[in-house]
Amino acid sequence: MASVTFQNVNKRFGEDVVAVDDFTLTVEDGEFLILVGPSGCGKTTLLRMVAGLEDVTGGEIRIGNKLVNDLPPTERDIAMVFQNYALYPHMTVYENLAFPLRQKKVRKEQARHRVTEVAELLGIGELLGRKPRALSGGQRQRVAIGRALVREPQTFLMDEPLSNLDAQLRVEMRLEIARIQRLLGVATVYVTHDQIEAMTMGDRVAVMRGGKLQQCDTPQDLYDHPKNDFVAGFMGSPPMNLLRADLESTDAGVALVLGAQRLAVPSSYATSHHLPRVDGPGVVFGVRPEDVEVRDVSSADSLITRVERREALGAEILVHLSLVDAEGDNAIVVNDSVAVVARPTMLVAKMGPRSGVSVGDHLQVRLNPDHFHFFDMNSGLSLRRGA
Amino acid sequence: MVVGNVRRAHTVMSARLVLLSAGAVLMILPFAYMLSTSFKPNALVLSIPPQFLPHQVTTSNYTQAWSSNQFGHYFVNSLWVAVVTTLASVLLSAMMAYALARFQFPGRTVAFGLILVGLMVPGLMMLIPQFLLAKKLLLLNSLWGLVVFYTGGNLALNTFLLRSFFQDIPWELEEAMVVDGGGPWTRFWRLILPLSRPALAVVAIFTFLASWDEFTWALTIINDPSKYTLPIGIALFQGQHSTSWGLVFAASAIAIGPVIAIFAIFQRQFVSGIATGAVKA
Repeated sequence: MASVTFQNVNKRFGEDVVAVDDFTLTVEDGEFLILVGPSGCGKTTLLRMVAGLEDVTGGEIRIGNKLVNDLPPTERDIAMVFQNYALYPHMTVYENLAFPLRQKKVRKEQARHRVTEVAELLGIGELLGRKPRALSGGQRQRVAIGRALVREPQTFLMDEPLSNLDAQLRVEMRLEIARIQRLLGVATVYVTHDQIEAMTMGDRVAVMRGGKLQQCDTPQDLYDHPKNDFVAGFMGSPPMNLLRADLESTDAGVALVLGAQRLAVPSSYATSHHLPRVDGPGVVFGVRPEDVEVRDVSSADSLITRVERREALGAEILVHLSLVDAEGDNAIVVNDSVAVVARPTMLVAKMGPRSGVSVGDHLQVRLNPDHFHFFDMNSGLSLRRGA
Repeated sequence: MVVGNVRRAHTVMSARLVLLSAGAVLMILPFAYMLSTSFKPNALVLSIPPQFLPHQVTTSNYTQAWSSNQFGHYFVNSLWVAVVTTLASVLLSAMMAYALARFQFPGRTVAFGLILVGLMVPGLMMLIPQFLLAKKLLLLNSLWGLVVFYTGGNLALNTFLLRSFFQDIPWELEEAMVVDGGGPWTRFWRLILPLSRPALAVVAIFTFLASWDEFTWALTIINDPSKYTLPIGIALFQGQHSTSWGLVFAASAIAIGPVIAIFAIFQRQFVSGIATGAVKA
């Protein structure tokens, strides 16, 4: 078993397309690392480079201490689970599982023992005589995982292995994969665009965008302390509310200017963050939907909003709120040209399933002052000191 | 309205059936007449009016055809040539198709273009150059001379068909095999060929038929009667002054046997191969 190290890794397709840009990261031995990001961010390309299915344009990839840039896939001692299972359709489950061992010239008896062991671990012992077409989606996925496990590789690579499964099966397999990974303790790189998978499965999550690593942290740290507005907006469902706001001096300290309304910023943020000057360019202000609470009375840390839309999800309701100006009309808070600010005039709040709010209601909402986020207006980087 | 639609559908269906039946009769009639004639005594072969169902049935044409002119020997020659040609042509064209479908190398497009050009040149135009080449290669008057040139002649079409099929096999399967330790040969033998059975059946049938039926090239390069193939053997029954059609047709009926056997063996694969190609196109 071994670690995987990326050192200034680059990947270009032709002259113009940069798929991976100066990527540096170490996946420790036994660690479960999730690579997450929007489509086209380079996460699958990175995984394929580790597998040896794509050439490395620049930088180094090491598995353990061995530089693998120019090694063929066979000599890298890795195993990969593909998005579409990639089971050999003309072979039985047994033959599929035994194939990598056969290629390694493992003796038949030993191979049979190993295949049986892995099949039992995955609960597919009964299916060994079947062809892949006679299996359900979940069973196929187990076989695909089994084919990776059977080789006892130094590193597991998984490319969105659950994306073709239905929601219920996905939950089940999520737990199953995490369990097996912990059991075997093999360094694993798992690519997904599903945030729930990212948050629940990995020891650490690496967020990518445009080929660049944005942040790599534990799921909770990533959620609580995003290093930039992209990570803040990407992680979490629904994502963090991001509003462009100016800062203003008040008797009590500093306030955020949100259209016609003011929101007091607790003084602690002046020390914990590099807030810009009040006459400066302003900030991108962020607050998570679960930190937006309905209140009965107006206060310095509350805003007047109107309910524009409600989405009942069963266990909770997502309420889309627009900020309201002094006359009770919808305020155009921002004429925003910064693309990262996804909903400049809207806030999304998570409310309990019994909340009796209706579209058109005016609500007084309090934004939890302990969980404010501030990002630089231009670079999008977090203004938190030490971030 | 609905009644009108149903009536129109019935009319269309009836017209289709009539057309299909007429087509089927046109196709089957010569074959049926050949079979019928092969069972007639020689005196009744050209009787007027013609007998579609022979009043007097005899198998003497079959026994005579099989035992005269070393017919059995020609049959074995043809079978050997067709089987070896089919194996060689399918294997070589599969390897070429795999390279053209899956590997990047300089001149790939040009190579494929040349293969397509090969498809467009009529076979008869190649007769003299091929003859000269066969002479240089010492392949005249030899069954290997048939095998080599039949194989070459079938490569273009087979490669073209197989390349299209191979291109549709998902890349991920090959990548999975690469990660599992499979090199190009392993992938070809253990993945591409097993997954291409329908296409391989199609090209095998085409090649077998083409080499089993071939007459002109065989007549051109074979002089030794012991090396004649079946089409030449059947032609021998046609005399300069008279032809015993009963014998010719019995010999032809015998010659059809292996073709029917090949179809029966590969039928399922053949049909699904044709269907797969149609859907993917």
